[in-house]
This record gives sequence, structure tokens and C-alpha cells, in this order.
Amino acid sequence: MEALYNALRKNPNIAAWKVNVNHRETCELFYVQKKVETVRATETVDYTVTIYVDKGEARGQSTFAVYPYMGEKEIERLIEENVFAASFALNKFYEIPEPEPFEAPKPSGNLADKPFAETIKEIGEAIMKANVVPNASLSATEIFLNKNQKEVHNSKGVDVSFVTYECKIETIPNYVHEKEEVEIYQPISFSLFNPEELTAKIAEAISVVKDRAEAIKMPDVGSIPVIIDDEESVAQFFYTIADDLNYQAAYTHSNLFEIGQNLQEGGDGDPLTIEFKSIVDGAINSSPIDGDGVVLKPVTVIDAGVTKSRFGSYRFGYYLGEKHPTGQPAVLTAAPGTLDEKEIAKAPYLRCVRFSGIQTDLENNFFGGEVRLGYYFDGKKEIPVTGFSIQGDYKAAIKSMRLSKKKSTYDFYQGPKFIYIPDVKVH
Amino acid sequence: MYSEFLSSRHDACKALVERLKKRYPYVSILGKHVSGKQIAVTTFNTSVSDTMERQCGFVVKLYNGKTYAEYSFSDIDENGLDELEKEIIAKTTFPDALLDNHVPLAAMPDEPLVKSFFRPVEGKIPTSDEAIASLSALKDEIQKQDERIIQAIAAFSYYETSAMFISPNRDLDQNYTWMGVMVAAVAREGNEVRQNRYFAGGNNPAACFEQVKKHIPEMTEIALALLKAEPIEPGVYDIITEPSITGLIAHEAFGHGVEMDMFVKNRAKSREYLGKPVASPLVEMHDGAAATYSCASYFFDDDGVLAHDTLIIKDGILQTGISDAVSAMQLGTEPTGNGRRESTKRKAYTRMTNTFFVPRDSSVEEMIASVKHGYMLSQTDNGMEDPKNWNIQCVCSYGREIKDGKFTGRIVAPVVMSGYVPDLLMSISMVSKDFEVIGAGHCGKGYKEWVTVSDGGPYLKARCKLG
Repeated sequence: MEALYNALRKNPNIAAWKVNVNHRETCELFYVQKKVETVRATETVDYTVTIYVDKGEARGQSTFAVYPYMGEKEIERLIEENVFAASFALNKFYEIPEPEPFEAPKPSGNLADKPFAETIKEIGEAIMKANVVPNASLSATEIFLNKNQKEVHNSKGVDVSFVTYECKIETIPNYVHEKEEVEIYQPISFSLFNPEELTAKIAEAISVVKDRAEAIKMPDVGSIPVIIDDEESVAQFFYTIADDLNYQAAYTHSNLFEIGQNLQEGGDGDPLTIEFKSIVDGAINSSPIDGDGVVLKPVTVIDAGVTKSRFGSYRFGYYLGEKHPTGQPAVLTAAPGTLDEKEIAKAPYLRCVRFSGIQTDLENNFFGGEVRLGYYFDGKKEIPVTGFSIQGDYKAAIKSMRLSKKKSTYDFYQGPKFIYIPDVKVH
Repeated sequence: MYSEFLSSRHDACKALVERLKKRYPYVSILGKHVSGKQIAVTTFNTSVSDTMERQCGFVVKLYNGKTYAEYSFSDIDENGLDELEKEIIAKTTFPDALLDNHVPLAAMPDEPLVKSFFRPVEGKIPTSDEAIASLSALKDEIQKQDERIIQAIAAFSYYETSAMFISPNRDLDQNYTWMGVMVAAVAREGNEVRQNRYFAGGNNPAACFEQVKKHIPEMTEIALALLKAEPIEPGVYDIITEPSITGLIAHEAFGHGVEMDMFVKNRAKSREYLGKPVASPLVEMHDGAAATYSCASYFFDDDGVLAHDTLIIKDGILQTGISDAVSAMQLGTEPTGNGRRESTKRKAYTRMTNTFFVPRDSSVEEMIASVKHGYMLSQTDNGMEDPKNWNIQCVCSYGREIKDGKFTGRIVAPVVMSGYVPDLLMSISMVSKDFEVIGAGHCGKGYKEWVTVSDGGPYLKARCKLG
């Protein structure tokens, strides 16, 4: 792709440029029940180019794909077309990032230790090892083993690249109970393959679907303390709060929170502390740089309930006058709280472990959604329940929520495993 | 215009198929090149970038006597076929111990067909400067509606799809375009922030711009009204669904359940209901790239199967599902032209295309007048399928209260519909003659594999649990 860089350098109308390169190799396995239906492999490369054109005090930009088949003439024509477009897409001037000292971290995990075809076979075997429970099955399982090499280059000299390996699995545990079948959706991701751990996770998912099959209709309780105990939903609950502190939200005046605001004022919950980090063990979204090539550093956005700083892309940080914009962060971490299972068991609660898709809407001050499996604790024992929705006041929940001592890690999240919210409507 | 890149690689693909067919009982190659732009003008920003749908590459599909195997790659060169053939063989060879435990499969039929398909743009696609000028005018129009509009958004997107499908007996190519204009208003009063949007799609850019312009006053009026929106008191209500929500029901609540790769995996309750009532006798539902004209109206799918119009529900009775080629083979049915990939980098699954209920003869006014206490539900926010258990989760951006046959002026937001799919479909008691299919959607399979889809239909009167 030297032709691309030459064409960018020699075009006099381009004030700055950025190239994102994504080389990807994958190996994929698709099971129907216990049998293989399809195997796949991919080897592809994508080049995404952004050019910046200055006109007076304004800067325009246009982003486009360049493909490996393109020759010098075609690339030059494409660049001219986008210079033209950028000269009309004008915005307030902003800079692009300067190079910073950067050392690419070694890819974490062990997925590069063997050829992908061998590793994926072992992953498949570890999954199917748990698929032995009477009345239970895995209806479908998809395994994606990916190697990603990402590069960012820009006209100021940013020239960084790093490699990651990840495994993403989607499986659908199914259970037959009194002729009725139910299923759940179970995503799993990791970069460190441990066959025993994977088998145990699948076994746990099968026990969850068994509970869903045997679940009874949720009794009419009105409002009750609710525990959100589903890692994806917990991650989303925290991310929606933090995302209001995005530079872009402030620049477009659509933010609800101001810096220095105590989101938990008057509340008696566990203090909420959110920090963004670049690399977190087990979080596959970990990345040392963002898409602009900004080297990501830890940034605390909420400290003990008080909003401390904003975060986000270099451009919108520049607009807000930030000296060192944080870049788009990779992993949200939330400080664990003080709550453990023993304390919870003192009074009735409803623990929700599978949502069909939790809604977290700060604008409408609402969180909730349909719950596919919960456990209702009536003061004596947990009973699997289904067929209900929850609905809560988001801002009130932030003040009163209790956070678990126990931590969990998800794709872009590490923090409390569950959130306890004292007053939530169940219907 | 059909992709010059794909044209220039056609002979190399033919040659590769000829080589691979000596080794494999089935082989095909899909090449796809999608290009286009998305241009947005907002109060705070103007941007130009490639369309989200952009892609350029190939995928070869093989039957190796045990399983199907695929290899995705970026380019093909007639002089490099030896190397590419070796790479395909190497990368799709997996340990025998793994493949021996395979689903019973066979080579897919390969009926002879050589054909080109082309749908020209109606009118002229605006250049970047022309689009920015038109969008700026729309943005200003939104902004001037009310000082509480803190952000106005106007966006234009278009994409042109070229695809070729080559197997030993088939040589197909297609070229078509789709475009849309979206406007949105973000309103703020004190600490309340609300938004609303409107979209028009089609194959005629001037008509799309004209249509959204007409709807700006109503769109902003609703954004402002939402500032006063209240939460709904949970309960079971009479509802009237606007076409956007009708489409959400057709797509999320029911459509995913008739994707027949779900039958193969024993994941769809609807399989047990083929030939049985699942909805009120007023209900007729279709899906298909050839069922209507919208954003999923291609000529052949990613398996090289021609577009269909599939009648899914007739007079409330479930007729059939929709399928990709490999699923149809496993079920012993005919594929329906619903094999779709997010891109050539991804696997083909059974996917919906244009999914909708058909209109009947009620007027919307009659429907509103018939409601004692309920809500007219509008604008899709999101939805999630549950094909196995037929639970509904559909989120509507807002609802307007109706009492004694009239709108009260009260607005509730957001509104979550829940319940059991057949209960909702069986409760449909009126179906309007007004009809709209909205081509603005992207649909995932579970949480990935995004493809463009449209959905819609008439206004429906039904009864449902809202929260």
C-alpha cells in the first residue's frame, strides 16, 4: 500500500491524514446440536483512510475505504473525490493527535500457541464435554477464533500497531421440562483458553436454562429490591451513566451531568467509582490505543459518586479545550462495593440473571425490560421465576444502589458482579 | 453501474471454480462490492464517510463430503490461482476427528442459470456538495421550529450493491441502489432531553428529500411534546400500532421465529405450528426480497437463489417459513432466497428481507374511535426476538393516550410491549387500509450479523401488556 501513502503525501490539498489498517485472520466452527455443520476461515485486510482539508478557520474531513486491488491511479482518483467532499464538510478546526511514546503490549492469552484449526477443535471438545445433562442440549454453537492486527498511521507521525487474539463463542443451551422446551443465549469470550473453565461455564449455562424451564410465574409483589446479576446488563447499566460524560455529549449540550456533580447526593448506596482503562485481563475489548492512535491511559470519570472528568475522542476533547484528550476508552472498570450474599439474604429480593435486552435510558430516567430468568427470594429460599418485566427510576437507583464485593469481567467491563437496587417495580 | 472491480475478476473466479470442482462436490464463489456515502449535517458537525454497508471481497463455499467449508478473502488474481487454490484447501482443512462428527449434508443443487439483473437509480444521486447544501437547508428548517431544539440532524446515505455468484452451472450478477434521508431533532428543557426522528427511503433521492421536508414540523412537534412525556402505568391496554410498530411486531415478535435455520437447530416454536392458527383471521404476513420494493429488494441472495415473495401467514394460519440454501437442504424444502451475509467475511444465515402484514379495510379514524382506553404506539426503538418461547420484547419510543375514542394529548415514553406472541397476534381486531413499509432498519442475528431489512404494514388494533 505504499501507493496510498505516496498519494496522501503528495496531494497539496490535504492538510492532514489518518490511515487505519485492520488485518484479520479467523477460524470458525458452527455446530448444530453436537455435530459440525460448517467450518470457515478468513484472511482479509481493510484500509480506512481519513483526509482533512483546511479552508480558512475551518477543517473538513472525509473517511473512505481503500482496497488492496486498487492501483495508484484509482487511489489518486478516490483521494481527489474525497478532498472535494471534505472541502464542503467543514467544521470548527481541530488537530489530530501527535505521536506519543508507545510500546505494543504482547498479545495476552494462549490462543497463538497452536495452529487455529487445532485450538478450535479443543475448544469445541471442551464445550461438548458439558453437553451431557439429561433433557439438556446445546441447540447451536458458534466458535470464532480471531487474530486482529490493528495499525494507525497519521500525517503527524503516529505509527502504531498491536496484535490481539480472542475467542468468541455463542451457544444456545436448551432444556426440556414436561414437554415444554426453553433456551437461553450464552455468549462467552476469552483470550486465555482453559478447557476446564470453559466446560464449567457451559455447565453453569445449562443449569441456568434448566432453572428457566422449571421457573414459575413471578408472584405479584408490586415493588421489591431487585438484583441485576447478568454481566452484560451490569456492564451496560454502568456504561450508560459514564457515557453521559463523553466530550461529544458536552459539546452538543445533550449531557445531563456536569463535572463536580454528586450523582449520589442524598443517597445511602455504595459509592460509585468508574475508571476507564486500556488493558484489563480477561476483557477482550482491551486496547492500548484508540482509533485515532491516542495512547490510552487510565482516567477516573466518577469518583465516589462525584463526576470528575470527561472522556472521549481527540477531536471533541480538543473542542472542549482539553490539553490531553483521553481518546475513546477501551474498558470500563467500576469499583466493587460492600455487599455479599449473606447480607442480601436478610430480606426478600428478586435476582434477575437473564434479560432479553435491558433498557438503560438516562434521558427518560428509566431502566428495565423483560426478564427471562430471575430468582425470587421469599425470605427463605430462591425460587426460579419468569414471565415478568422490571421498571425502575434510573437516577434514584444510582443514589441507592448497593454493589457486590464480588467482581466479574466482561468484554468491555470489569467491576461488581451484581447491582442491588432497593425499589423496582415488577409487572 | 456494475462494479468494474468485480467485472475484472469474473474470469478468475470462473477459473477458480473450475479448479475446485475437481476436488469438491459443490463449489461456488460470491463476490460483492458495495460502495456509497453517508453524509450528515448537524447543528455541531458536518461529516462525510463511506456507507456503513461498504464491503469488497469474495467468499468461496465448498462441500467437502462432510461439512460445508468457506474461505473469505479480499482479492483474486488470475496469475495467482495456484497459490489461492492451495491456500483455500489448507485453510478449510480441519482435523478429521472434528469433521467426522458432522451433520448429514450433501452437495447443494446447482440448477443452470446465467443472468444479469440491474435496477437503475431514479434521478441523479447528489454530489457531496449538493447533498451537504440540501441537508444544511433541512437542518436549518428543523432548528427554526423552536428554540428548545438544541440539535438538528439531517443525514443522507446511499449505497450501490454489485454482486456476482459463480458456480459450475450458475453465473449471476446484480446491481442496485438504495438511499435514504433521515432528520432528527433533539429538544431540551431544563434537565429534560428528548429526541425524535423521521426517515424516508427509496431509489429516488429527490423524492426522499421532499418527503422528509414535509414531515419536519410534525417530527419536531413530537420531540417537543416528549419533553412532557410521562411514564406509562403498567397494564394491559387496547393498542393501535403505527406501521413502524406493526413492522416491529412482524419482524421481532414473529419473523425471527420463522427463519428456518432455527428449525434445523430446534430453536423455533413456530415449527410445531405449521398449518395451525397463530393469529387473528385478519392477519396475512409476507417476507421476501421480491415481496415489495424496499431496502432488502435484491434479485438473488448470497446463496445464488433468486428473490422470492413468501406468504408466511394467510388468514391467521402459519403457512411456511423462510430459509437459506443449507438449511433448506437439511429440512428437505426449497430455499426461499433468504440466505444473507453481513459481508463476504461472514457466514450466510437465514435472514429476513422485507417483512410486513398486508392491509385490510379499516380506516385509522375508525380504529381510534373504537378505543375506550388505550394508546397509539409509535416509532420503533428496539426489539429482541425469542423464537423458542415467543416472549415479546418490543420497545416503542412513545405512545399517545386515547380515551373514549379520542387522543387526550397525554404522551407516554418509552413504552415496552411484552407478553406472548400468539396472544398478541390473536388479539388483532382491526387492520387499516393505510400501509407503509419502512426501509431504515438493520437487523442482527442474536447480537451480530447485521443486514439491512425493512418492515411495516398497516395500522393494527390489538391488546397487549405495556410497561
